[in-house]
Amino acid sequence: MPREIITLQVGQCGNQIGMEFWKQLCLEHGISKDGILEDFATQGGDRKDVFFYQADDQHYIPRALLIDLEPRVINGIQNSEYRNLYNHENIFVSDHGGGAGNNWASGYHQGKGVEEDIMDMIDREADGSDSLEGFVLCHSIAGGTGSGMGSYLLETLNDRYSKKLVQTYSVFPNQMETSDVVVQPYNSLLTLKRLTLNADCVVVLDNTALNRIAVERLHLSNPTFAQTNSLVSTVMSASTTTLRYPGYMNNDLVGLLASLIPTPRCHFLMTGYTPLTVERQTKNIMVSSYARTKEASQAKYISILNIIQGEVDPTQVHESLQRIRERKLVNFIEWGPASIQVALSRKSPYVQTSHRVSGLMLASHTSIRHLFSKCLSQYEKLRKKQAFLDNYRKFPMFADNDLSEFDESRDVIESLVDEYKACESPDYIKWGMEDPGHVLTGEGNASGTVDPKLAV
Amino acid sequence: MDLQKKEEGAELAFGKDWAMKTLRRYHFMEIADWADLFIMSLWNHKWCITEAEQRLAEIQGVLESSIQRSSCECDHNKDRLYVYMKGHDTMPLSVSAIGLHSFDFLGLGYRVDWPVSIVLTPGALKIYSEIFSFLIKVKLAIFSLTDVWRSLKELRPLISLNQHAELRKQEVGHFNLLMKMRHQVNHFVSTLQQYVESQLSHVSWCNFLHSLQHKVRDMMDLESVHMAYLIDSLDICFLSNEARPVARIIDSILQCSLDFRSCLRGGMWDVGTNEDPAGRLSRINASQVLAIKKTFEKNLQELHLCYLKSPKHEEYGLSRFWGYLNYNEYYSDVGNEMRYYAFSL
Repeated sequence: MPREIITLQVGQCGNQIGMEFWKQLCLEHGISKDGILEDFATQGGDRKDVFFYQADDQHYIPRALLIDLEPRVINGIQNSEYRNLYNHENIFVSDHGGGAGNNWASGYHQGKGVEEDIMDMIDREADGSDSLEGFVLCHSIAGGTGSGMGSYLLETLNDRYSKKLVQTYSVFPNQMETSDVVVQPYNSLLTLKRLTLNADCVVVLDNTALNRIAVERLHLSNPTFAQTNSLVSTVMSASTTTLRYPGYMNNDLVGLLASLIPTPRCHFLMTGYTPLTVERQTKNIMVSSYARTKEASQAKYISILNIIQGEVDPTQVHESLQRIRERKLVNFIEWGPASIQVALSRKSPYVQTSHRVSGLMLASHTSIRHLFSKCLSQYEKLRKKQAFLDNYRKFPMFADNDLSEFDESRDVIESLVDEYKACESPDYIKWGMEDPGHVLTGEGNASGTVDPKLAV
Repeated sequence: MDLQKKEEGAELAFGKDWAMKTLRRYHFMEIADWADLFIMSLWNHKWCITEAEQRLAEIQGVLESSIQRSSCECDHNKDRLYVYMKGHDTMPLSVSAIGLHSFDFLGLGYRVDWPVSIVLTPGALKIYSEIFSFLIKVKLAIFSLTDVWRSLKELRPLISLNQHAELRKQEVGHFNLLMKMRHQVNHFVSTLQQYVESQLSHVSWCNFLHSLQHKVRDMMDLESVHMAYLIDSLDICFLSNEARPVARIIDSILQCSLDFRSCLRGGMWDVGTNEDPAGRLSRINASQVLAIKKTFEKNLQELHLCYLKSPKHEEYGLSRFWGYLNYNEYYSDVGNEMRYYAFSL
């Protein structure tokens, strides 16, 4: 029962980061570019079967589906050194190859059209699993395919595999730059609705922060996508370490998420990784674009998990935790207990790094709401001008000038922002409900009566 | 000196797969994917054989297949493991209700040859087995809480955001109550797990390796250093005689975790799709959640009392555990009953 995870990489960005992820996994598990176990990879003790399966001829094959509406990136993968790694039956490129034109509605609509083909591929992978844990979707939220088709897949997976987990690695657009995709705010908002309603966990990869890290920390004056993608693959592989190198706890995805995400709606995680440079071991919180504002100082951590790989002295870990606590370096929620969980995980013996220890932080932090607010305000600006809506009206969901999908998505995201804001207050438990008898807070009411239904 | 070098030193002296390393892996669950499979399989197994001997053979089969399907499949020592029945009790394993003590009857043994048997005496192996039983209970608790998280996740679309108006707000309240209580109990159990992992698998092991290097000259030294390591391990898990009141409280909170399974009426794992949303949410048994809340808070208050009386600044024990548990000062907050309780002493 390896608790398998099927990866769906959708669109240009999804396939690019997906490819980097598989390269990293192959290195860590001693699997060659052709999927053959290297002669030196004899140490064992790892779980390759969570992300790979073994074909009859001993080839390790990623449990991955490569999906795109235009062929460029997937052709690139198929012509690369890793062309023999993937199962070619799991590659889907639309017949017309024309892409989604950076239009969410086109991606979503085309997703609907090819649902049967893609679900057949997913079902086949699921049937090949012993005990399927869930799905991981890699995509960007700003373009057409990863956002629109990704959204459609999220809804379909939720319907078809409601008991399975759906985790996403979602790349958010760089908001410091003028994008060549003018409708990015529309696409982002419509995708965010699905990430809120149909995913169990979203690992937010903010291109604004990734770019800043590349410039400020790695001193790359003009970072390429390949460079920022390699940062993403580092985060992706580190966040799956405990699943691939089991220890006492966090050996499966559901256990990991059940501790990290106490409130199922606030399921957006930020990440930090150290060291991204060899000379300076600095903690980088990737989604920290708004951390310097006054309002953001109210932000609180709902949960933190640090996955530390390499040789580390547990006494030092304890001392660091004490120091953080004494100096109040971390601001936690007040409505419930919270702490920094630390998982000491094994490291691949096949990858030599110049640093002795590396650490990934996965955290649920209420400041993420500022990222959503920014998406909302950019959307409002565009919507006010009624700009570029014709491209959407061409598709059935928005036909006859029915733009209610935009309004609904905005409501969902506004409500999500409100919930994160409510998490910053001590009485979050009362958010979105009535508690006339104060039975939920255990405080009783003035008349001393309780709802008879709740009497204990 | 770092841990890896110490481990290499011990491997040179005792061989690559030396017994204590194996016992740490299995009995102390240093690598526990096999244990997750084992406990889950026992939990989900349909038990129909009534004869104890046959049932034991069946459990042995479950153990072997769990290890076979785990990251320990290539371990040479895995065949030395066996299950046995503790004492003369009959097996209480019943299909209907898996409780915290359902697997107390089960011991995990390890076959040792001479001369290792001079150190790994039956008494020492019994301590290993006792710690294994404690770790099973913690695992059962976390599995139950994870199951509740799954059902909350399935209910999520029903309370999602813009649908509040359609639902009775009281039911949203029940959802929030269940969510918050699960979080509190989950925080307790996962903090306990983290404390155990850190102290048992790392700190005390590191101390043991250090002693091996500096204090052991002969077999007698080895026996006493190993026994000191086991006594530390019992202390870490609150299984010593002195820690009995703490152990009772921990047991009671772990039982709360298992009781969560009864917080959704009519089978929490089978949320139907045709039922109307309000109907599905009304399955939350708020009285049961409140009962758990009461028990949990009472036990936490008692644990806090034990903490106040316990020695501080020790490497192991309650003060370390409480430090992690109360990391964000939630249990010392003014608005919290706990603070009032502490002052009223």
